[in-house]
Amino acid sequence: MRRYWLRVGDAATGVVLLVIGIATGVALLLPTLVVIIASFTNTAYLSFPPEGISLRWYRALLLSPEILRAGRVSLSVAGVATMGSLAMGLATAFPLVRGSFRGRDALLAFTLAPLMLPSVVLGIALLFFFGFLGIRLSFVTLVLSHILITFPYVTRTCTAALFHADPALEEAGVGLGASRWQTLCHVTLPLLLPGLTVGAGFAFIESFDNLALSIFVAGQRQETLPMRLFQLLITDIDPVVAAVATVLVAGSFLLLFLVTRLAGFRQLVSAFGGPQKPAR
Amino acid sequence: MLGRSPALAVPALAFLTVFFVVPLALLVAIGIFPVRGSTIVFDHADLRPYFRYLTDPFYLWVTARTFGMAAAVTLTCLLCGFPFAYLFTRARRFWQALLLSLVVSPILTGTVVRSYGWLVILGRRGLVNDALLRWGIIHAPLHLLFTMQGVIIALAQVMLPFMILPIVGVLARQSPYLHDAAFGLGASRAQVVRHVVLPLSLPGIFAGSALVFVLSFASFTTPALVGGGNFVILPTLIYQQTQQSLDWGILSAISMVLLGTSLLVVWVYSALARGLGLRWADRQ
Repeated sequence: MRRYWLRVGDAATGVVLLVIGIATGVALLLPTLVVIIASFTNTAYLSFPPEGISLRWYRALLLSPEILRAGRVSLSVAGVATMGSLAMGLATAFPLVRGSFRGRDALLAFTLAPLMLPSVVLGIALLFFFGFLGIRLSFVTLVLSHILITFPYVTRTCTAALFHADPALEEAGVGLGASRWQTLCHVTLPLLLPGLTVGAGFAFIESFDNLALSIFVAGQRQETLPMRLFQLLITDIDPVVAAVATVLVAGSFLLLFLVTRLAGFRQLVSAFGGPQKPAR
Repeated sequence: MLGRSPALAVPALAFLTVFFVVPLALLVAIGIFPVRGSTIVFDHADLRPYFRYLTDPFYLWVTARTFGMAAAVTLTCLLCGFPFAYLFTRARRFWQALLLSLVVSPILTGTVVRSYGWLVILGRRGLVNDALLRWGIIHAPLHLLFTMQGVIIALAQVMLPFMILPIVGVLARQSPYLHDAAFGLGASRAQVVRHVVLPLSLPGIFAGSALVFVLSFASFTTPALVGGGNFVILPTLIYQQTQQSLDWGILSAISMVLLGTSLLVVWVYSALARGLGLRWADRQ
């Protein structure tokens, strides 16, 4: 009798785990899927499932100067911020992994600290700071703020990549007569390329997607795409947002594809939340 | 070996000091000293913003609501994320790759887009109401949007990857034979989950829960969009206050509560993890 109940409990556990697991998988995909499908609606309001298929909202998107300008602002902010983060993160990763000086662990913790702070708090702090110094909010303040939140990610992926790069290869390069600069360009950087690519891709997406910091530090004329979409959504659920969102999803998957081609899937996964090998 | 010199870290150090440490110090200062225009008067300390925060029922209620929301989101993520992570570790290689892209892709999709997706799903004419009405389960559309439940559902979905990835990370490193050994010794599936899988995934569960709680406690985009203008939590309160009037004292006090809570949760997490001997580093 007890055996019987054990078996029932067994089957029930399996079924419950399976059902919740599958439901979770569906929930992960559902919002994105719904947005993509809804973007092809032909009605003036948003409905799901769409009553008819049309591309009218894509036309509306192309005819909206505000959306196109916001898209350009977002692309340039994310581009410049990624470059800045990459340069600074790479430079910082070297002493973090290879140096032996006092306070190295403290330095590591310090470079990751901006991630610990809620974006809204960082935004309000920077808003007062710029006002305090009398600096007008502009493209520059926006980029500087975005570097602050993307730089920790880049440092993290660069440290991880550098940790796995064997210094013996560099010594071999030097032994064969290469200068320090040649060694860096022809040995070290190629070894780090996968990690750098993932870091750059992630920084770009993080900056492109950011809303909570941008709304505080962007100037009047630097409305980013998430800010524009936010404005469109708090007034009304405008179907044109679905078209923009679909373009964004397509764009990020293209980026993901490029990054995985360059860096490999494993590298990508290790860059997200998963446990990291700490720097020595 | 290239790049051993600590001097390479100087640009980053300078950048972080100017744009991170100083603004943060100023933010703390404006909660303690009065602000006139955009300068701080350091003559006398004035803790009135904090008193106002602690005695105003509205602020306290918003704080309690933010706590409740973050706790509910964490619990939802845990209840959904653990079964998913378990299925992931039991799946074949092909399915694992598929499930993993399912987890990672939402991070790439962006928060605004996903919150928008939930607006479409939960709206009056949305997917859920449409289906329930069509099947005759309900006769009038449910109010899902602009409610606490709606925000919890949407935010939990946004946060799920941060719960699943740490748990998968821990479980994937365990030997698959542990599972088979437990079965071989006569354990039922329920017993294996209860006595083998669950204890082994504890480090991931702790890390994921701490992460999800901290992130949802401070989240802005999803609650602002799915909750609407009347659903006020601490981060949206900060934004609203900057739109209306720049009362720097109270803004600083609210920020300190957000910041303090994040640090407290992280501290409790690391104390817990240390107490249980569950540090990531030990398990490499």
